[in-house]
Amino acid sequence: MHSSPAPRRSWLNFRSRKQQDRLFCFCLLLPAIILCVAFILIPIVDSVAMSFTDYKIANLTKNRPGVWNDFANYTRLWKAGKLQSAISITGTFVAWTVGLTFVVSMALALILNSEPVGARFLRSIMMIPWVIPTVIAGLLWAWIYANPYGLLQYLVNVFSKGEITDFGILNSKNTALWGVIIAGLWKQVPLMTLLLLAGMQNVPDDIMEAAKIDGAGYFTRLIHIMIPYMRSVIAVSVSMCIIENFKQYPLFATLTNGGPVGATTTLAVLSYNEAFVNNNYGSGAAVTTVWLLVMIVVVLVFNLIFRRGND
Amino acid sequence: MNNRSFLRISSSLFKYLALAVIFLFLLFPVYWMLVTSLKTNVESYRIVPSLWPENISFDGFNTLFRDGKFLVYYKNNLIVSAIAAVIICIISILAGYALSRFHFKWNVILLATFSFSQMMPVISRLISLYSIMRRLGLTDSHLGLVLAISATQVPFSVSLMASFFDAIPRDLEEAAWVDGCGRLKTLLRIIMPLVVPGILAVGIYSFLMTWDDYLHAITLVRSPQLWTLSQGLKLTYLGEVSDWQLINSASILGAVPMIILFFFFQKYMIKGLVAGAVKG
Amino acid sequence: MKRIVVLLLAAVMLLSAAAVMAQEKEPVTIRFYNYALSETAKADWWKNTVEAFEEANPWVTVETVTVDYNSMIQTFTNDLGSGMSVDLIYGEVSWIPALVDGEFIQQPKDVIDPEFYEGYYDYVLDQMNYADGVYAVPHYYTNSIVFINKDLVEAAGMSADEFPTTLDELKTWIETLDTFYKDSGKVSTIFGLTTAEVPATGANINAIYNAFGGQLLTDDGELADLKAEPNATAMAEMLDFYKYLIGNGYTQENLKLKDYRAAFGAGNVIAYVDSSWGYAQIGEVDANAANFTVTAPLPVVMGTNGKGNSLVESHCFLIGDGLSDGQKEAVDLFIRYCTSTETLEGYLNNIGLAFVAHKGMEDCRISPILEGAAKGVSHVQKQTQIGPMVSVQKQLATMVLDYTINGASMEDAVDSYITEAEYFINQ
Repeated sequence: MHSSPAPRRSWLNFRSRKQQDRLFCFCLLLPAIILCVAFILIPIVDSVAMSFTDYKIANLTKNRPGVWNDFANYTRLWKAGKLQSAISITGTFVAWTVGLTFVVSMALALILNSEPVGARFLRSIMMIPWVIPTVIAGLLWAWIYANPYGLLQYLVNVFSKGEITDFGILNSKNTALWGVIIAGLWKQVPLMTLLLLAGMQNVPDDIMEAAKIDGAGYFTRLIHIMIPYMRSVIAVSVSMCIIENFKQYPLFATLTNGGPVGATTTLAVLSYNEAFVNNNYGSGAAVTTVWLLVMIVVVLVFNLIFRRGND
Repeated sequence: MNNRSFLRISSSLFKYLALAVIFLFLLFPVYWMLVTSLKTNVESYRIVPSLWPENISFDGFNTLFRDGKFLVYYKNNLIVSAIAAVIICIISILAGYALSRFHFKWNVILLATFSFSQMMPVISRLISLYSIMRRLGLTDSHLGLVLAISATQVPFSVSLMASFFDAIPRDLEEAAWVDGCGRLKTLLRIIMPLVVPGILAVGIYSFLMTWDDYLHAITLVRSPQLWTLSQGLKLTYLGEVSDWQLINSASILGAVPMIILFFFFQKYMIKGLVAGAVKG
Repeated sequence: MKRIVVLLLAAVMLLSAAAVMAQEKEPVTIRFYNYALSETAKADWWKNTVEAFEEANPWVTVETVTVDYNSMIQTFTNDLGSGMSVDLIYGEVSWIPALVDGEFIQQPKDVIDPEFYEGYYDYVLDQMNYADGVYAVPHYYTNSIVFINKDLVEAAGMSADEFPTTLDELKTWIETLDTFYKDSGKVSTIFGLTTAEVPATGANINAIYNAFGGQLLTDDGELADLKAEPNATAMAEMLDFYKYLIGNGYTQENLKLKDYRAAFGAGNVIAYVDSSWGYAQIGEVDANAANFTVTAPLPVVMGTNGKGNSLVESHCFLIGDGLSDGQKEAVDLFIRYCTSTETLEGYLNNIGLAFVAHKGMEDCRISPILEGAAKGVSHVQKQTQIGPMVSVQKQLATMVLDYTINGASMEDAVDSYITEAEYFINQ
């Protein structure tokens, strides 16, 4: 095929097919690479470098480079216990949100997969929470949680028969994180349900039927046939969900801003506050660097477990 | 026999009950947002909330439309998201095709880098991103914002697009090649028409995701006449005022186009997202 | 006839002289950054004021720029970086440290007419001290005052004019009202204090702490010794007061000022503590709120050491660095124009209720709503500004929540406050 008869005027003619392919491929990828390098990778590297320096407002306004400060940003954050607490809160938030999202989505997907009345219609309107912008979703839940006058505290009042009259889920450090988790769950269940539902289409019906005839109960079939067939879909949708929740900031910003008593100060909130509330950009960058490392480790470990299970 | 049919009825009863509970959880908040937008503030601040407004009031919507600023933010966001969606589509068609068809060693590295940058929290790069934009003279312009938010969506969109190309048999290109069709021409004339559903999926997904942007806009865009919707809502209407009617009215207006868009194109969206994810 | 001609001639000459003089003024533009434009009423007032000013001084163009309260540092950084000048900023006292550190602003004494500058009340100007001097001039000011729903108080058979003047009386007052309204379901808050972890709340709690006779920062901008007297007692009594209010349900935990404002406007709050300009949002919920709103100063005797001390807050003008002489003159004129009875009286009565901060406005009428509270503006405490002021004050809310609802002991709550505050101060 190298000697394709059609005459081409291009100078590419003088190169081998393989070389041409390489060049062509590179040209196709170039715009994507430029965009990602310029607006994502360089800023990341820059921010990591900034995290080792003393970098405050004047550095930014007067274009002064930061001054190396012997890891002072990290040690200061660590000694005050900020990093440890933020990591553990982030971990709790991600674990619960992802876990619950998976359970609820799986249940919903199974029900929808069994073709209840109106399944198609339900599948469409189910997606509404997912398309609502996150800032708006946060405001919507803030209004439900509002204390007083919020819907939730009224419901709690009614169901507790007037025992608990001013339940403010975001006001106590024991429940505030749950307020955000519920909002996150609401936002993310639709997409995961959709993906799991699609994965279920790949499960061969005949094998399910055969197992049923063999007398395998519903949960046996679910665990031994369905889930193994859905493994890759589960892996992808769960790791998407993990990343999404690790990055979550708008919900915290609209609902709790890290409070009360720091109970919802995740790495995202901490970095934003260090950088943009206290105007200590170096310190904010140190938090994001740690954040990034934690996230990479978690996603790698998750993928490792799943890949290994796959073989 | 009786026992079994009882079991079947009760299990299907349970199924519908679970369905109802989950859907109540997913949809009632949206209903609540709508109802609050139609209530006067004095009614919203009742200790016992009313399920349906006593007097339907459009004050919230009127205020938003009357002062005109809201429409400007809306228009800006449409422009920004639409241009971003087009740019993302073009880039991901090219790069997605490359990744799907050519398997060079550095493609693996590139894929890894892409998925790495997808994980990047926005906050971590705001400051440097701003300095870069300043050097390029793109601060306080829609173009700068469009480029920045396009970059965030490119990694996912490229792999999504690649999965669509994967589904197209290679024979087609080989045939075109034999017919003397150049590489780029093959892609544009022969392959691209076959992945229109994928392009729609990527475009709409990008539009939805860029509509959601807030942090980039507040960092890069300054002038009120250039503000996007989330930014404008936050800066203009959500100051120190707890006007829940206004906030909910604005939320409704911000959410409705997304819902409509989704319903119009849900076939492609669902197909695209599923294709992207299942391919993994 | 002759006389008329002479007069006319003189008039013509005068006019042309004036015209020449006006022409001699080099046209000047000042870029005016204003965060107070998010509310319609304020935005309208500023628009009219700027227009009237420009009409009176045709050589000056005031270009208004809206800034968001939360992202203003980024805004200024962005604009200076893109070669736009930041000539004048309308903002809050707590912005001063960041703006001075970022080298954005200069001391107003170098710009404003010395005679006029003399006219500012010292106790307001004192709050704007940072690093090497005063970095802003006030537009008007407020201290923390009590907003009272007259109708609700009178319905309980009491008089809103006789607001308690000691802490003990205040508690009796609260309990009497609570007994009356307990089962009515009409009232959500008897005596509201804000405890949400936001900047405005931090400033509010600091004011309450001052009312109890405590001092948060030393004059050098260090954290005061909170374990020494009188601070220790003031802190302990303040925390117990919050616990008393929250524990008994007289106030709701973790509420923002804006929540109280809205609820007060809706008629569900008997009394709460706020800055005077909080009334703007009360009025937005119920336009007739003036009929039932009265104010009072905080009790003079607050615990062992409270002698009626108060902190003031103000909205202020901050002047950009690097102005040309023409711009300096324009800024001076503009600030003086805005800080006059003629310009500001309507604003102070209808839009942002507050007290005047300049001698030249002594004749300015203040809103009748503020009459009750006006008695209490004395004993203003000086407070040094520090860079992390917002965080250090905000942390006070954390401490209060820690002690009142999260079960921390007083000692632990104060200790962890000191740790946190030091963390922010020593960065």
